[in-house]
Amino acid sequence: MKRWISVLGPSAFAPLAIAIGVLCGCASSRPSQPPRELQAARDAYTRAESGPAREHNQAGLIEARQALDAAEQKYNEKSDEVKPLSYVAQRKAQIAEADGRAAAAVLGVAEEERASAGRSERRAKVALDRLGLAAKEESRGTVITLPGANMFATNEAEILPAARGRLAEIAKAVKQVVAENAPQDVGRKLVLIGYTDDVGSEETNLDLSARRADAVRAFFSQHGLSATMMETVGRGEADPIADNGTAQGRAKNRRVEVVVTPATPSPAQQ
Amino acid sequence: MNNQTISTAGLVLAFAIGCGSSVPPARVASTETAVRSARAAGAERVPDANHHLKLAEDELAKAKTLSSKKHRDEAEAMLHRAGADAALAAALTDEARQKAATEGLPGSVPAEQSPLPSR
Repeated sequence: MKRWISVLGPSAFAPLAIAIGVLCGCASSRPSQPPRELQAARDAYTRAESGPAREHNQAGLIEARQALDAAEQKYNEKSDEVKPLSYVAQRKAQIAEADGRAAAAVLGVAEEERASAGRSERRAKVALDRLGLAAKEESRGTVITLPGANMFATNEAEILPAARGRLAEIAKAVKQVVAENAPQDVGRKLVLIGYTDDVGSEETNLDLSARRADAVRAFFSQHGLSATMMETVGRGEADPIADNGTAQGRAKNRRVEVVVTPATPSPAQQ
Repeated sequence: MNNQTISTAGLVLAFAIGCGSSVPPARVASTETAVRSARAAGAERVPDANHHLKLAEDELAKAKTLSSKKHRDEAEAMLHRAGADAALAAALTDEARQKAATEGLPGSVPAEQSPLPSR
C-alpha cells in the first residue's frame, strides 16, 4: 500500500475512495423507488381500507394488511420476492374491497326495507288516528278494530251507506300499511274477523259475523286492496271485548277486526 | 374461503425450496380447483371478474410449463399469482350477484333467479 501511495501520490486515491464509497453505499441502502408492484399493492390497500371493507370486511382487510407487510419486509431486505408478494398483496386488498362492497349492498337493502316499512306504517297509524281508530300491535300482527255498530244494521251484513265514506278512508289507511308489491310487504295478509254480541243463537251469530267480514272484504277490494291477500273469518260471539250485559258493551262486541299479519322476511334480512 | 389458495407463507416457502424440481401435483390441483370454481361461479359474465379469470388461467398454464422444466420456485410463484387472481375473480362475481339480487325491481331478485349461478 505504501508503495502504491508513493507511486500514485495520495491525491490519486481520493476520487477512487469516493467511487468505492458510492458503490458501497448503493449496495447497502434500500432502492429509492419501490417497485411498481409494491406501490400498486400499497394503493390497493389504501383504497380497500377507505371503503366499505372497513366496516363490513375487517377480516379481509387484516389478511390484506398482513400480505402487504410481508411484501414490505422483502422490499426492505432487497429481496427478489418483493414483486410476487406484492402481486398477491394487491389481489388480497382487491378481494377485501369486493367482499366489503358485496356485504354493504346486502345490508343497505335490508336497512332500506326496514326504514321503508317503518315509514309506511307510521303514515298508516297517523291516518287511522285521524279516523279515531287505533292500530294495536299484538303477536298475531297489527290489529285495527272497526266498530260494527255504525257499519251494519241489526242482524244485517250489508254496509250502511252512512258508513261507506269512513270505511273508504280506513281502506286507504290500511293500504298504506300493506302495499302488495312492495318488497318489505311480501307475505303480508289481511285477516278480517267478524264478531257479534251474544244476542241470538251461536249458529246465527257465527253466520252473521262471517257475512259481515265478507262484506268488509268486498268493500276493501273495491277500494284498491287485493282480494287475494285478504282472508275472512266469522267468530260469532267469541272473544268479547266488553260486557254483553250492557248496551254499550254489546255495541263494542259487534265489530270487525282487521289483522295485518307480519311480512315474510326478505332474503336480505334473513 | 376466497383466500384458501393464497398463502403468503407458502409463497415465501416456495422461494426457500429453490429450483431443480417440479411443483407437487397436489399444489397444482389446488390452484386448478380455484380457477375452475371461479369459472363455475360465472366469472366469464362479469367483465372485471373475467379479466382476472383469464389472468388466472394464463398464470396456471405458465406455472405448469415452468414446473415441467423443473423451475420449481418460479412455478410456485406463478401458482400463487393464479390462485390470487382466481380468488379475486370469484369475489368480483359474488359482488356482482349480490348487487343484481338487491337492485332488481320490483322487489328483490332471489339469488336462484339471478343470471349468475350460486357459488
